[in-house]
Amino acid sequence: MTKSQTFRTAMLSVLLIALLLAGLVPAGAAYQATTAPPSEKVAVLRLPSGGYWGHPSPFGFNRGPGYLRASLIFDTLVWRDASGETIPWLATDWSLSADEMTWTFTLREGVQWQDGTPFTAEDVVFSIQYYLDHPGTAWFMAQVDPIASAAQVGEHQVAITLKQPFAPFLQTTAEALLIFPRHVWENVADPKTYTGEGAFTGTGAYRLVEYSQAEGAYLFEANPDFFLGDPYVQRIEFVPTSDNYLALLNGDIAAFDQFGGVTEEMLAPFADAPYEVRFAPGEWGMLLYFNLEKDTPLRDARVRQAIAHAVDRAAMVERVLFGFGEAGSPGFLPPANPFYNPDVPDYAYDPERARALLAEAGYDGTPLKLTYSTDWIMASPRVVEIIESGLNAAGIPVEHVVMDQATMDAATAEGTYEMAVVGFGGLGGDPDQLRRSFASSSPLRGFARALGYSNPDFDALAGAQLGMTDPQARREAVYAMQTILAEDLPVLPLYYTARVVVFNAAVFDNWTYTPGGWGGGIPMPYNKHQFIVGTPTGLAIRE
Amino acid sequence: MIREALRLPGASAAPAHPPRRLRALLGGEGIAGLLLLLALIALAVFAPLLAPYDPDAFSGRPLERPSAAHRLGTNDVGQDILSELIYGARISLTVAASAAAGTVVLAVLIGGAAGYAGGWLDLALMRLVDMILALPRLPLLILVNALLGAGLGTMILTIALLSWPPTARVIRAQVQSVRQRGYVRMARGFGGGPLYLFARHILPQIAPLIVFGLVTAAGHAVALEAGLAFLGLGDPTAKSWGLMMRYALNLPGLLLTDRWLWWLLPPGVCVTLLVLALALIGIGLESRLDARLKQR
Repeated sequence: MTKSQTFRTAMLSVLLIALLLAGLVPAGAAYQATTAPPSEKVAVLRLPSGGYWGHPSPFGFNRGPGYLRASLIFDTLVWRDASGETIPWLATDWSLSADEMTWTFTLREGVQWQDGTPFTAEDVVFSIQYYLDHPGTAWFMAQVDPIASAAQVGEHQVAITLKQPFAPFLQTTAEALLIFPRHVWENVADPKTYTGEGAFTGTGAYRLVEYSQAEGAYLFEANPDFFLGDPYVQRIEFVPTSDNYLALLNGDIAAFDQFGGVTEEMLAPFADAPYEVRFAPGEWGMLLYFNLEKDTPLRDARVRQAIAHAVDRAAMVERVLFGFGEAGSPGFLPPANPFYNPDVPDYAYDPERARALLAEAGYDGTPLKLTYSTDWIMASPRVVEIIESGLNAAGIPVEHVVMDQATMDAATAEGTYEMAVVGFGGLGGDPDQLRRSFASSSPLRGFARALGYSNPDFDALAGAQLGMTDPQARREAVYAMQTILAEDLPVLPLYYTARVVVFNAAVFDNWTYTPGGWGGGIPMPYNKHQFIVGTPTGLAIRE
Repeated sequence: MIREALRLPGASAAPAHPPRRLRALLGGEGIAGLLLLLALIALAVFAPLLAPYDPDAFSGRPLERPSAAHRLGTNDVGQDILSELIYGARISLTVAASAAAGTVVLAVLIGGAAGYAGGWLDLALMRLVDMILALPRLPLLILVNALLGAGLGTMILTIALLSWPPTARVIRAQVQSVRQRGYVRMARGFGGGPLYLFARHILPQIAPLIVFGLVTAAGHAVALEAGLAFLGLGDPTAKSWGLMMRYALNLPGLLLTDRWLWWLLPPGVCVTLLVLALALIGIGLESRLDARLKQR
């Protein structure tokens, strides 16, 4: 402790001096002096790492930030630009058959793996077949289960056949499934842990130089042989930071993003050039999952509804997000999603009503276990305080089960919890996620999956909307699905965080939130397209 | 007289006037530490009377600046920081007291057994002492808390399990010396059993060491608890001073405003004061004990 106090004191003194200096030196002066003229490429882009997100092989990464790292090395058939348009990537052209069952992709010619081996249609077929043969190996936002088979149909053509028409195929499958080299992975026995030769060889714009599990640091450098040309950002470093706001002011990083919990006071230091701030609405949610596989009072919908009445979601928006976000909709999808149904049944904060519902359900005061992580990025301890005080007021005792984020992700996948506070992004993406999380036949396992929930009406709608290419019909089906979820409450969404990216425009200025997210729906402002090309749209690399 | 000089203060034959005895035992710095400790204990005991609000209640808007209603403002969820600070004394002192008690019980049992029995038991126990002494404490605590899950009970237990060796070693030496003394050997000759001898003759001789062990263990426990909570490894529901600091620093850009003055600094000062109080008592005790031992 004496050590950390000395450290604290030193930090504070350094800070005081920094503040004094900040008044004397124009902000960003140091940067303008060292940064190359704007006509040249960005030499180094340093970003906050936020922890260790696994190793960036196609199978070794965790969550969205992990996918980001892997996506720098590995490519997908198509990608998405800052306008939300699907753009050519490994495939230059794609088409859907008249019966809506087969997608045909024409692959780019002359693409090479980073080890010099030519990229071929065989690699694509192998990758997709591999995901089909090894369920659970694909990125959780990438949908494999609608695919029936993949086959090479020409020298540079691949056909992907579906089990049934699948409306969101491009965004949730073609834009999200990472393609990896056959000559490396066909001999690997355990893909998740493999870090040997070729594990980090992709077709991508960046090569992995090194990564450190202990520090959560990752270092990538541009691949000059990349198929679109030499990338605009030449080097991307993910570095550990303690306070992103200080780190940005100190020039240790070039940008950071945050989900919720922002105040004007915090953003005040970034009001003037070279800093800029950009906002986006909430696609990242904090949700209360009820495990209905376990024999607990939670199996009674009235108990879950009582909890919805007991938990003050408006207070969370005020006290956890400082107003920077929105209260959860019982229908799961956030207002930022184009398919959001604003008219689902809601549960106003009403402890009296909660007690009445509990009495009606014959709840006997059994304590309920609440699982959550102490990972501070997730801000869940504060959320837990508000949940607990609400449940206690309604007469529900709460037992705490505390874990770190990785253990927690495993526990939510295995279903060893009763109630869990789970946070994840992508809720603004395609509404087929409702089927994946809630349909009783969904093969998805992982933190987004609602366990033990089964409603035949919901299942029927979930199956039907998949093949609906008429937007109006699909919207109606998805609206009805949200109404059912709001009544059954297998999950209680607590809040959706608004998003903000703060950056030093003198280092790099091309920051956007991709509409609907990238990589299948990742709501972070780190779409690799903007680093590679340097502009919001198009494939020509900025000079 | 040599025999008299060897006697430790706790076993002094003719009790002096109590305050003077206290002063003789603790010295000026020790008394200052004791007063400070008593003040912090009073803070913990009378927390419900002293604190303006329930520390868990959302008594204000989030991130209020200090005002008449909230002397130290409110934290990120709108709880009164002053009330949190006052109630925080309870956690720190509970950890200090329980971990110290656990440490000393282990130290007396193990050090006493080793010193009294001697032989292979002594050898085995002292090697165990060496082993645990060689372990780095904070990293090990971080590991244990990460594996067993964060909880106040686990934390107290692990602190006790890791902190007994230095005290046990001192107690063993003292027990060894006491059991060789004539009156102890005589008592044994008259048929006194080990438990009787230990309680009647040995315990009074090691009493000052026990007090000293208690004080130093308590100081370490406070610092370890604050450190773990600060690192986010403490019990997230037990709002100690360390956890308050963790929450304060969890607010992005905290150090860019003057907010740290009323949110981060006060719990830091409180931890420092408590550790200082215990350290002062320890220093006071130690120098008096040393003085006695040097007369040998």
